[in-house]
Parts: sequence; structure tokens; C-alpha cells
Amino acid sequence: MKKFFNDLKHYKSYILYATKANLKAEVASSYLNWLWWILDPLLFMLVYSFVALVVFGKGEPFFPLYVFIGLNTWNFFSKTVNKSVRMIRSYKGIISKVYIPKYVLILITIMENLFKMTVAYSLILIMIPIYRVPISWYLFNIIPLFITLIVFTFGCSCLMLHAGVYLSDLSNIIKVVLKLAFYMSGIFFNIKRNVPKPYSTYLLRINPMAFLINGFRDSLLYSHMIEYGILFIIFVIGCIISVIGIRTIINHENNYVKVI
Amino acid sequence: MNAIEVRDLHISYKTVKAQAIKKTFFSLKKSSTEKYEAVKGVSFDVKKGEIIGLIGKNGSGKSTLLRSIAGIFSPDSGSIETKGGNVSLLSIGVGFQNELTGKDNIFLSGLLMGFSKEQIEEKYDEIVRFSELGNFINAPVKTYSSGMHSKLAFSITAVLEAEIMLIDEVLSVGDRKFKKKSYAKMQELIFHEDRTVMIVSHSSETIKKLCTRVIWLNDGVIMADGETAETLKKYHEYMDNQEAIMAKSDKDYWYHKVKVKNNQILLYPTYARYCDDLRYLCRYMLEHCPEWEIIWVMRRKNQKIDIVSDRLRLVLEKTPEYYRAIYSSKIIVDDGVNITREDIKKQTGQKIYKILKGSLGIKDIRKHAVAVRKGVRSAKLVDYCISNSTFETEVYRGSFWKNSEILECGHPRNDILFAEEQVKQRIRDKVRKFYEIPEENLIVLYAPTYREKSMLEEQVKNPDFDKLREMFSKRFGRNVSIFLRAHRKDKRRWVGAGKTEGIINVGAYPEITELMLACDVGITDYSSWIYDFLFLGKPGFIYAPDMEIYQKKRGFYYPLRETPFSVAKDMEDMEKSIIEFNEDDYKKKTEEFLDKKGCIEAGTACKSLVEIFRNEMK
Repeated sequence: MKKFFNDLKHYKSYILYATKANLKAEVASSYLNWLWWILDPLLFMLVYSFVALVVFGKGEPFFPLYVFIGLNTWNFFSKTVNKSVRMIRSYKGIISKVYIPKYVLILITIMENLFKMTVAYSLILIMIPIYRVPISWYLFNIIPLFITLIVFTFGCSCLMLHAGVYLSDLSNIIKVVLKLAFYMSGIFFNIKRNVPKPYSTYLLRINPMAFLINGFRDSLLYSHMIEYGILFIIFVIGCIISVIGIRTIINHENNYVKVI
Repeated sequence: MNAIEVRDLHISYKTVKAQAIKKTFFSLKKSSTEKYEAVKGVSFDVKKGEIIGLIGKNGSGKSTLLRSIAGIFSPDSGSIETKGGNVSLLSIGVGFQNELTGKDNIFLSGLLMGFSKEQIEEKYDEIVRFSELGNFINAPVKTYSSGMHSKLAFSITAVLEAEIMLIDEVLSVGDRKFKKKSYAKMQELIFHEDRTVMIVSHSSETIKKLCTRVIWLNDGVIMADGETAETLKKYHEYMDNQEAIMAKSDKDYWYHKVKVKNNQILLYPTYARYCDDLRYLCRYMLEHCPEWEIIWVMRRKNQKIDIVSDRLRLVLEKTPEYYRAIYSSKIIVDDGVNITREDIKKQTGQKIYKILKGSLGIKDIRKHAVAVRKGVRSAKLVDYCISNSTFETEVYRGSFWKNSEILECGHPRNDILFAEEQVKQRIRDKVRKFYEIPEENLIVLYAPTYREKSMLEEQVKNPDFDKLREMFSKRFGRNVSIFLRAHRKDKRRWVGAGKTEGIINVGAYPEITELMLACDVGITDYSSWIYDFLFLGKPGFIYAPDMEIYQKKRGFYYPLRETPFSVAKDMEDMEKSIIEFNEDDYKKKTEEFLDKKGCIEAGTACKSLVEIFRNEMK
């Protein structure tokens, strides 16, 4: 773990530069540039709002924002995990030429997606007054929620990065698993109301993503207190898998090149 | 101060292969973990400023070692310590992120090499200038050509001067201009006194030019570590040896792989010179047997064989084509004991013919060193021995080839000696013209036998050539030119030849048979060519100052005095022989001699042999 924090310090400028360069490259390759960071979640918000409101005729208060929060939070998690599975293979060129701690690559991805999520969340802050959402002090609960989300995502990504090296078709499976988790996290519907009991409670308690997304909504839209007990448990779980992940990577990272 | 310290380094590739999930789920066994050890217990120190060459065959662990020093691989056990700042590994195809621009890649590579952003900024312009990329530097790397790619990679490593440079097989990239520039830059970098360099290269030239010390790795173990020239020498010796071992397995491969081709005939000469038998046979076959495939074995690359024909296939000994040819030839003709050289097994249906060079010669083949060493072994392979007399038949029988069938059909090399006068005249003129000998001059061919090392202890002397010329001049009333032909290893014979007027070194002339035709008089000590010379009826003499010693060591089949030649032990004897030479007497003696030896030579050897081969091929 000491190595991890040393590396963090040592590769700080690399991570920052790489994040910036990657974002820039992404922007440079499309016509509408950075607008996509806003357009993408907005358009998907419209799609899912249409599906929920028109097709199923079920909505929630402030429904577009409800979907928007769900989508962005989910995207952060799923994109990072998904990329981690193929991480070593896609960075093969660099990895085989120079030493780089492999979790640095995850951190770069997290930074990228975090940036995009931040852009989206700042959009929410603009939309909140438009939709006349009542603002409360619960808003600040999103800070511990963010931290937990990042730690949890990082832990999952470390494990996936390692597994992805040795299991070449893991990425296909992960896609399916993530899709299932997508529906189980209630991105565009309310789990409590649409899933029969007791499953809805199980989902909300066992699925950290469902809990975290709900937490964001409660804090931003509904002025609800979040269950700090469960949040703490998720945070601890996130820390534990992160430590396991980092350890596994440190022990095996110099063998990755030999495998791919 | 040591820049790199490597201690008992082991690196293995556990082939925990990347697996498909299916396998993991459905195989009950735990995934098979084969272990391949690429580096096995390597230790060495590299001093600061040293330039080390890493050599070894492919797969010997060089790149693995380099990569582990760069920190890309982790050692399974042992340790690597690199002291001092940044380490950079320069190898073919440096890793870039393709979607990013050249500029970003410069910064990212630099940061990964351990430089700060400011340091890179400082050198940025220089890198761009060196890479010659211009405005492309702001385009994504994926739009680069492969040349631009490697130019950029090289420039980054070259300009951002790392303290420890590890170079893997890349000393030249890009077009010619850039190559030159990069090589110069490389040398500048490498020879910087503070820089420690390790170079992996297969080019001995590069290693020789650049390195102060060489480490030779073989199968993950250090075989030698030391001064450049010495280590390279050891390495090359070893590799040559390995090649021979590889060739051996080649041999087995072709033995099973090819089938005997009925119309293929392989000629296996002992030397490039002194192989007149095969040369004449080859020419005859090229002319008379258009449907045959004829193959000639060369002992060295670029050997001159003096047969011009595009139908003749040349194969170099110990190459795959050679083994293929050896095992697919119906007939092999050998003028020595060459077939034993490679420990060749005979294919079914293959026939091997042997021609003896000695024929009526006096020297006992049973005491010939090479024949002794290989005679018995060759006898097992030889099907037919070619003889020109009952005497030669006895020689075969009495030595090693007791069980082979003997064909008394004469020697191909002697056919020309029985040719029409016109043909012989043409050759005579050719040789005279070649050595610029005037028509009126008398040519004396002096060609002594080659003495093996054991025979060389005695001082062998040439006859006094000036006196010899004088004597012959007196006897025959013509100006005299002397042809001196001796073995190329027999250097003492050459003293004076070519420098003294009237003595011509004909050692390089390919065919002794043609020299025999061109000369008027022949002199030797114990060489067997003089017995072929008899067929021409020209005067022959024996000058043998060391007769007793030679006879004791080498052994004769019959006493020298039984030959038609007068035997001289010194120049006095020689003078007597020459003055007393009587042509009629000599002719009579020659006839008697040939008769006694049961010689059947009649100038039809090639024809008879080809007839025999043709029957064999049916």
C-alpha cells in the first residue's frame, strides 16, 4: 500500500497530463466537440423519459432530473469498469516498453469519467432552479456519496483489470452483467415502487449502485436524509476491494506483459 | 561506481495463458501452468559509463533481461538495482497512444521516463526538430506513417538523455538521411562518459564498433562476460558448432524426406584442384547424357571448378540442398573418401563409385593418413571401385575395399591422354599461350608429391633448377622452361618460383592432365601422376633425394627401380640420367611396366563408365 501512495505522488503529473490529453483527443475527434459531454446525457435523458412516461406511463417528481442523475452516476461506474477489463490489452504498446503501475491507468480513466460526470452534475445544478426543485442542506450529502462511489468504482476496476488479463472473453460477460445491473439499479424507474417487496428492499440494500443513485436523488431532489450506516458499509467494502485489487495488481502487474 | 547490479536473476514466463472463460468453467483441472524460464540465475555489474553489448541467439533471454532492467518485467527471484536517475528502453516500435497527438505522446513518454514536465518542455523543440515531423507533431499518432512513428520514438529517447540507456536492436530507423543522423546521435549518446548503455544486437559489426564489454547469453545463462573481441570470438565459435549440429539434424531430415531419383548423379571431389577424374567425367556426361541431372559438391563457397554449364548444379557442402542432393542421387562418384565426411547413411538403391587417384602409383595407400582414418568406413559404403589395371585391383583388394565390386574400365582423367593428336595439340597450345612459353622451348614439369606433416621433418629440397635447365638444354638442344607445381601447403617448394627466369609456378592451374599434355619432360619424386604420364610416352625422371626415409615412412608397393624411370638421388645422378636417356629403351621399359601391371587404359573410361551408369539407372 505504501507503494501505491508513493506511486500516486510520483505519477501525479502523468495522470493529470494523460487525463487532459485523452479528453482533448476525444474532443478533437468529433464535430460538436465538448458539447457532447452535455448532449450525450441530455439526449439519453430524453430517451429514457420517453420510455418511462409515454410507454409505461409511470413517472416520478422531477422525472427528467431523476433519470439524468441515474444515468450519469451509472455511466461513471459502468464506463470505468468496462474499460478496465480491456485496459492492459489496449495499453499494450506502452506497457511492453516502459514500466508503469497498472492502477495508474485506472486512475486516468476514473479522472476522465469523473470530469465528464462533473460536467453533467454542474448541468444538474443549473436545471435544479429551472425545475423549481426545493434546495436543502441535504445537498452536501453528495460529497460522501461521491467519495464512496469513486472508491467503490476503483476497487471493482482493479479486480476487473486483473481478471481481464487472464480471461480473454471477460469483457463480453461484463457487458451482460453491467446491463443487468443497469436494470437492477433503477436508472429510469423507482425500485421501491415498481419492484414488488421484499425484492425492492434487497435490491436497494445489496446493490451498492442502486443505493448510491438513490442517495444522490434523495440529496439533490427530494431533500431526504441518506442512510449513513449503509453508506459507511459500502465505503468499507469499497476500501477492502480496493486494497485487495491494488495488492493483486502489484503482485502480478509485471507478469501481465508476459501473458498478453 | 556500479550503475546496474544484477544478482542471481531468474525470470520465468508462467504460461498462465490468457484463457477463454469456457475453459476455466468447464475444465476440472486447474489451468496448466507451464513454466518457461527465460533467464536463469544471471549476475553481473555494470559500471557507470560502460557500454555493454548483449549477444546471443534468438530466445536466449536478451530482451527479457533488458526489459526487466527497465522494470517492465519483475524478477521471479534475484534482484536488479539501477542506481542513478532514469532508465530508458529503446526498442523497435516504442509505445505510443495512437489517438493522442505527437506532442502529447512526447510529454507522456517523457513523464514515464521520469522527467518532469519542465524538463520536457525545455527539450520539446529539440525533439520536434530532430524528429523532422514539423506540423505533424500536433496530429494524432495514428495518422503517422511507420517511418514517422519510429523517427518520433527515436527522437524522444535520443534527446531526453536518460542516464541508463537500454537499446534493443534499433540503431537505425527511418530513411537513409535520418538513419545517418540517428546513428551519429546514437554514437554521441553512447560514448558520453556518464552514460551507461546496454545494447542488444545481432550485428557483430555494431557490437565491435560500440561496446567495451560483451555479455553472451545462451538459454538464459551467461556463457561469457568480458572483453569484446574475445567474447565475440567465443560466441562465433559456439554458433558455428551449433550450426554443424543443426546440419546434422538436417541430414536426418533429408534422409527420410527425399527419394532416390534415378537419373541423378552426384560428383563428390576431394579438392577443387586435383579432381581431373570427376572433371572429365562430368564434361563427358554433360555432353552425352542430356537427360541426367548432374550435381557437383563444392567444398567451399565460390570454388572455381572450371566447368561451364548451366546444366551442372552446384551444391555447397553441409547445406540443406547438399543433403537433399546426397540422398536423392542414384549414383555418387567419389574420388577420395569424401562420402565418409558427413557420416552419411545410404538410401536403398543408391550406388557409390570410388575412383582412386593413385592408380599405378607407388605409394602405399594403407599408410595414407586420411585413407587409414576413413578407409574402412568408406569401404562399407562403396559399391564399385574403378580400376585401370590388375595392379590397381590388387591395391583395392589389399587395402580397405575388399568387398566392393571392381570395375576395370580405366580412369576418366586419362581419356584425354589417348585422344587424337589434334585435340592434344590444342591443349598444348592453350597451356603454352597461357604461360607465354615460346613454341621452341622445351617444357619440363616438376611436380613433387605432397608430404603430410609427419613427412615434413626431413628437409625436402627442390632440384637445382638452373642446373636442370642447363642439362636439358644440352641433351635436347632447346631452351628450357620449368613448370613447378607443388601442393599449396608445401610452401618451401615455392622459393624462387616465379622470380627466377624460366621457372614458372603452375600451382594454380586446375588440371595436371593438361600440364602433362603441354610439357615435354616430367619429373617427380613419388607422385603418382608420373604413372599416368607414361601413357604419353614422354621422357619421365625421378628425382628422390630422400628415398630411403620416405620409403620407410610411407611404404612403396614396389621398388622404384622397377619403374621405367631412371632414379636420381642427387643432381649428379640426375645429370647422368638425363645424358644417358635413351628413348627406345625407355619406351620398351614403359611397355613392359604397363604390361606387368596389367594396365587396360585405352582412352574409353568415360564411355564405359557412362554405359555402366546407364545400366544402373534402368
